Amino acid sequence: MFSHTLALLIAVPLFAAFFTPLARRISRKFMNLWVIFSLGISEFLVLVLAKNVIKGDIQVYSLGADFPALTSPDGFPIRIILQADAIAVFMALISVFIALLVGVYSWRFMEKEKSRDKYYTLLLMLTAGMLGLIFSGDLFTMFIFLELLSIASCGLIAFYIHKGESSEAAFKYMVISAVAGLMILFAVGLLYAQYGALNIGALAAAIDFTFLDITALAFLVAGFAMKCGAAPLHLWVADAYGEAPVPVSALLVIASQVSLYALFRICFTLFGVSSAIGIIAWLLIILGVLSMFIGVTMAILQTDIKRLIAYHSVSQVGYMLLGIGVGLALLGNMTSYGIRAMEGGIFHIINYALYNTLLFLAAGALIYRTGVKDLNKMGGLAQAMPFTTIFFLLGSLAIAGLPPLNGFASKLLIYESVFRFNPLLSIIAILVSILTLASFIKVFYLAFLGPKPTEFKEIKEVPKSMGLVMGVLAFLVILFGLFPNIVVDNLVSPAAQSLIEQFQYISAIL
Amino acid sequence: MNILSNSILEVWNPLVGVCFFLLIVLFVYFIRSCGEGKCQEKTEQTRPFFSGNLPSQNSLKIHKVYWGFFEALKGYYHRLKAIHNGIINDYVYWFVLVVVIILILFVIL
Repeated sequence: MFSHTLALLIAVPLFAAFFTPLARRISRKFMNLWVIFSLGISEFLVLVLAKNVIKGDIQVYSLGADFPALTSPDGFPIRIILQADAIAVFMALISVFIALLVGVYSWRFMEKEKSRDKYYTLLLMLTAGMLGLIFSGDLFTMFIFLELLSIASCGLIAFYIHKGESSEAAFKYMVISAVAGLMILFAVGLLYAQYGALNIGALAAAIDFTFLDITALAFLVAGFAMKCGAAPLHLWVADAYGEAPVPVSALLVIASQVSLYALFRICFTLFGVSSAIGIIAWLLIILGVLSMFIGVTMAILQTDIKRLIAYHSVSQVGYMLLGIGVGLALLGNMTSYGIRAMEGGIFHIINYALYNTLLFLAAGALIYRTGVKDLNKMGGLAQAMPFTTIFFLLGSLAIAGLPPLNGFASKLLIYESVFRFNPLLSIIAILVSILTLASFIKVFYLAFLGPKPTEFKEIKEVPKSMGLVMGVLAFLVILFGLFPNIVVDNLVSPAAQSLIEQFQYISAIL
Repeated sequence: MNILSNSILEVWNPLVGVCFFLLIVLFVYFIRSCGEGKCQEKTEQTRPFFSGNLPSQNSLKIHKVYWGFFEALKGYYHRLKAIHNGIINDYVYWFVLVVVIILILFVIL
């Protein structure tokens, strides 16, 4: 059974998605249990896969062929290849873990919604889309799963269809996704037209940087940069994250991380060490700096708590782009701080997933109890919701990069390594952290301190299941901050190495 | 690999932070224990003293604290808000613009 883990990882959430409306026919409780059970199975499968892959092996699974290199008699590669290396497993671990927590959180958060079966179906489809995108070994399959992810996300953003804002946000997301998807498809077409292959490993081995290759690279970078919400292509983020149901906003953050992974896969594995590497690296660095600064300065302006966190998400994506960009710039002549920059960027992915999800879910707890998103209408909630207050505070301190929380550990790696590459970039990154702290001081004061409005007199803490999910995230935020070495040694370093070692990937696939 | 070895902040250890935090907690507890022992909870004694002026929801909000920041960056924010206008056509224009810039960069450089 475990030899089919890769295929099962996509099949389980996909099957669960289509079975969910049937489970709803039995009972709502059964449906909830079914969703959590199927996500739990997915998490188990990722852990099984991680055990084999994280040491540096690359697992390849071929759909429609006995072995990956098999072609039809006339040499036409008709199979679909799935691959799992350390960076792919790293992303899958994050994606499924957050999806599982979101599933548990949604049990009570969405209990008043009549169309919960549709909600869970889309949630599972989004998970399947993320996993498919992560494990795809060829560009067209990657595109297919990107579309699955986009369609499911679009449906989830529009979940509160009776609100005009949700429909508008979903429409914007749909247009943006369609344009980005078209660009990516066009790029895939350009590469296929030249080399007659879609397989990333085969293309990486054959690519010779013609004008069409460079054009394809530009489309792929722009398409995935838009999907991951990097500035100045981030304009859809606040609308989508702001109007989607809160648990969905948390999962959309992870979906954007998966697009970021696809961007890294293109830059490192597909194009790798080349004459264009310096430009690609500086492009990532510039996008990173723009994302950090524009994101945080827009966040300070916001009074809607979800939009505020959404703009901070843009800002945090900037840190990852900066770290990985510096690593890419030094790829041809990798130094110790180049590797450290990459590790910082990759470590920030998991840290960001944890504290940003925590912040979204804590904000969701406030919205669940108060029914408002406007910070100016909140206040004095610390006494009524002490656990949520602590969880939100931990998330805020972590995103601002304060020790000893996880945000500090990854940001420290980025600051140090980027400083050796270019001190100005590091100074900007530190400045952005200070602005982030300033922004969350405002949020914390407006939501939790000060006098409590009279209409919130009866407010109490959120249900235990929601508190438990936030508690798990808060625990990990502290744990990863206190013992960063464990995470870096066992997860982050292998992931960084798998991105760097392009030839190992090519030889494993071919 | 030690995450913080060979680092500028070699002396930093996250556990030092925890010890420091525990020390602060102990210090706060000490100050609290020095307080009035006969204090009765949920009475006027434990309510904040506002000197006759009860705070209202219309009082000065904390984001006004950043007024100087916004004022200093007025020009920047003016342009930034214009970009974030919520019009989908403009979002697509931005995308096309970025694609063109990336293409020019890749082809020329």
